[in-house]
Amino acid sequence: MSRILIIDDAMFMRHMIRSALEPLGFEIVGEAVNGAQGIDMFRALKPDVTTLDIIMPEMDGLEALRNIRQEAPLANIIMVTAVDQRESMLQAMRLGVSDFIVKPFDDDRVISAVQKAINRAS
Amino acid sequence: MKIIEEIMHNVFSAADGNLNRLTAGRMRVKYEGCQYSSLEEITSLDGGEEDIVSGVGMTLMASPTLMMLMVFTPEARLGAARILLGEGGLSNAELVDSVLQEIGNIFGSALANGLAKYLDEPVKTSPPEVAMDMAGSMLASIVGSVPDLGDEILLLNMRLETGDSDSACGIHIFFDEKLREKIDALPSVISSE
Repeated sequence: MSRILIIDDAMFMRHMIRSALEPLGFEIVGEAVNGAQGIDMFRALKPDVTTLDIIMPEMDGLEALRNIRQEAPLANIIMVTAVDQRESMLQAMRLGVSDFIVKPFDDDRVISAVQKAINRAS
Repeated sequence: MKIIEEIMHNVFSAADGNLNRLTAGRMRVKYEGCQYSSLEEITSLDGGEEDIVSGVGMTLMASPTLMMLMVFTPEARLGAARILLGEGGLSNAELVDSVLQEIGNIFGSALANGLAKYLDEPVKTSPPEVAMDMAGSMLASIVGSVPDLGDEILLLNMRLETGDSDSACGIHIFFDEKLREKIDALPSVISSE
C-alpha cells in the first residue's frame, strides 16, 4: 500500500485528494497546511508520494520543495498548481518534480499522477 | 455589444469550463450581465443590508488595483457545498468555506486572466478569503480599506446551477481610476481571434 502525504492550505483540496485516493487503497499518512509543517511531516513520515500546493501561507510550496529536495533528492513530489502560476511551475520543474496537477482537477487526474509517480519509483 | 460585456462572456465561459471540470458537470454558471453601480445600489441588489451572506474576496491585480468580492446567498452556499461534499460534508463549516474559496478562486483566476489580457496589466492574485456578514458590511470594508478605489463598482450577475436548482450569485469588481480609464478606452468591439 502506497503512503501519501498531502500538503495544501485548502481544506477542500486536501479533502478532494484524500477522497480520490483512499477508495483505491492508498494510505493518506498525513495532511499539512503549510510548507513548514509539510517538511516536518515529510521527515517524520517518509511518504512514497507527496502532493504539494504551490501557494500557501507561511512557507510556500516552492520553498518547501527546495528543502525536501536537499534532504531527499529522489522524493516523489507532485506539485498542485493553478493555471496562472506558470512562472512557479517553471521554477518547480527546475527543482525536479514528478508531475503537476493543475487546479481545478478531477479524481482521475489525481489518481493518474500518483500512480505514474509510484510506477516510476518502482 | 459593449466591450466589457464581451470580455465578461469570455471570462464566464472559461470559469464555466473549470467549474464543470471541478464538479464533473454537476455545477454550471449562467452569466446574466453586468452593470456599473454605486456601493449603495449594489447593497440593495444583494437582498438587503440585513441578510447574512458568504463572501469570497481576493486581489486580482496589485498595481493597478483590481479586487473581487463574490457573494453567495445562503442557498447558493449550500447548493455548492452539497454538490462537492455531499450531505455529509454540510455540517463542517470550515470545509464548506473551503469549497467557496475554491469556487471563488476559479472565478477570480478567470477574471484576472481575462482582464489582464485586454488591459495589458500583470496578474497578481492573492489567496481567496471567506467571510460571513451582511453584504453591505463586506463591501464597505473593502472600499474603506483600499483608498485608491473608484466611486463605482462593476457588478456581475450570475446564477449557479446545481442539478435541479439554481441560485443567484454576484461578483463585485473593484478597481482604481487608472484601470477604469483603461477599460473605458478599450475599442467597442474586440477583433476576432
